[in-house]
Amino acid sequence: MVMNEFYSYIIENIFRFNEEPFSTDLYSESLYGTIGIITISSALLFNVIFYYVINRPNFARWWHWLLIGGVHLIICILAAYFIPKDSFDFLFFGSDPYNYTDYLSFSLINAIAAFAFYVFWMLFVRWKSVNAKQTPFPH
Amino acid sequence: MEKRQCKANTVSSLNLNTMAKLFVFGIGGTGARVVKSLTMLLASGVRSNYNEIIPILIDPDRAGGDLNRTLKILKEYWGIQKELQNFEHNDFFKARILTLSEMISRKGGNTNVIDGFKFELDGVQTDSFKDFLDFGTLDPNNKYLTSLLFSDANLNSDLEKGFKGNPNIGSVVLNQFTKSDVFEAFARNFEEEDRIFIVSSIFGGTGAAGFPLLLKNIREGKVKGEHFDFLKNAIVGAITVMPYFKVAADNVSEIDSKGFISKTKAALHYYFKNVTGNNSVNALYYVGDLVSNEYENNEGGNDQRNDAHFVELISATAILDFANTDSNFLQTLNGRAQNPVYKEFGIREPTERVSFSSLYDETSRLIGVNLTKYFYFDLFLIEKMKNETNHPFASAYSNKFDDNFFDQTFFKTIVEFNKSFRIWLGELHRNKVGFSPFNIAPITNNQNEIVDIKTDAKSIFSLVNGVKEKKNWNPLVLNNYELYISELNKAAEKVGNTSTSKRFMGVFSQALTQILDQKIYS
Repeated sequence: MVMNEFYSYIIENIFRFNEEPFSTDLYSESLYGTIGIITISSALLFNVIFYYVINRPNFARWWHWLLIGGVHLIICILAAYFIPKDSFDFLFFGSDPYNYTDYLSFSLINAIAAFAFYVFWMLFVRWKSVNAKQTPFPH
Repeated sequence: MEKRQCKANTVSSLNLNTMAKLFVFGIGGTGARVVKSLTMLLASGVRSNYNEIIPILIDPDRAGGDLNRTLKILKEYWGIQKELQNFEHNDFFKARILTLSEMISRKGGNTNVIDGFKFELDGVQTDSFKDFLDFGTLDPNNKYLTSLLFSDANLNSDLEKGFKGNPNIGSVVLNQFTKSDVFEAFARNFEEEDRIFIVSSIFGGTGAAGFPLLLKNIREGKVKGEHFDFLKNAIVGAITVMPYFKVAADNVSEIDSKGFISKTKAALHYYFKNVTGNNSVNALYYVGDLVSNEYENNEGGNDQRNDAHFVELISATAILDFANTDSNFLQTLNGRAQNPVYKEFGIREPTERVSFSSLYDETSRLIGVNLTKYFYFDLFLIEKMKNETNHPFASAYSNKFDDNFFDQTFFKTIVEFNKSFRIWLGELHRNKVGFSPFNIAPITNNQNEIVDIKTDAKSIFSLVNGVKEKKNWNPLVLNNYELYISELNKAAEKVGNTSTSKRFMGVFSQALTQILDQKIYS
């Protein structure tokens, strides 16, 4: 519930995505919470992977970090597109009232939020990395 | 070389004598070249029980190529080491090399002795030996006697180029050394725990004459009429380098290597009575080689630039062996060594190309890891350093390894010193017997002088001859320079923030210890 409140606030108030009744349905079905958990935790996870699992001198340039961020964005776009779609298909017994532009708009806005969280986590995660603490930019 | 092992103390057993000093007299061209090898070993981090080493080079040949090359690297070492004092994370340039005058002034002594690592012999700058003797003012009887002792060639010899293989000239000219202000300052500041090591060749002019003369004066303990008991009872070591090269036949030159062996025999006979026979020296090291290499015949001057030789490197390890030998085994009483020791050096088996695996374990342990560390330090500097400044070890700290640092004197001096290190390795590699611990190829100029070396290997950790790289077939494991940089990054965290020069050396020193442990030596 908390994540649903929090993430709906992020998407609707900060990133200004408010398409009624699509947004209300997302909120009612707690899909903001699900997408929020996936987006925020995967942003952390991909940063951890980059800074502590890969952690290689030859893979520590800003574009390498951006590449991993790109993979993260693709996952978030797919999650923000298909999770609501599956839920609404189930909710409306196969007669989903929303078209693909609704889902695509939401998933693209979520991608922007995902990138913001990817940058946010980077600022906290990278400090203890041996080989990439200066990536994507020096302290 | 005889197949006997040099009994060196292991590094782990060292008990650093922080206050005492080791005076190293390098006499003649061989003396200078041995001191050069010693400097390279100390730069690489080979440990000496004596943390302060004072080299004093004695050579009348002021323009001598070997002398001046050694002086250059001594000054560079001095400049580098000055920046690294009291820094525990660094092993390179650990021992302090200082001049006699610096040591005296640090003790608060008031002296006008300016030595700059070398002793300036008076009267040899512009004079022939005849002028040095004031031959023209001698009475007829003394003139006849002098003419009996010295040939016309001897008398007309230009002293500025040294004694050209004539110890009879050297013994006269060098006798002034002990009457000089420098020797007096040395005697006055010599302390109870200090030691002396004398490096000389036995088959030339300067070393063969200078060694017994210097030793005699030390054991007398008298300088300008004043008695110096610590000097008289000093622990004295020496290495007498026997023939290990010959020079090309040249009718014009006064130097003829055909006489090297007979001179050696004569000198050894003299030593038998006056050096070893009277227990003047506490530890005497002998080293030599089958004379299979031939140098150009240069009487002296800038042209006398012999390639570095394995025998000189081993002579340098004798200095360290002496420094690391416990004083209980080297006692002196009334100016006489109580239990003098005599040592020879040998390798496992005769070979044209000596590598670390050709050395016995103690010698290999003493120099192997450290020389390898320094080799890889230099390799990174020339191959990668300026293009890898984006990594944390270089850029994540307030004192960065950036263009500003590369423009500083410290870094430039390291670069200069390392070039000498590479040339030294190249010369050791090219010489006969060759010392080739690393897979390198010398680069020469038009005069066939080695000006640099190059390496060519798929994996940089396969460059140590006779030692197999420890492979890990896991494709995710770091290798080559990626491993190197990763270890530099780790080392940088350990070293932390300190002055840029200390951080620079500390990071490389710490990282290379780990790298060598992972990839080359266990």
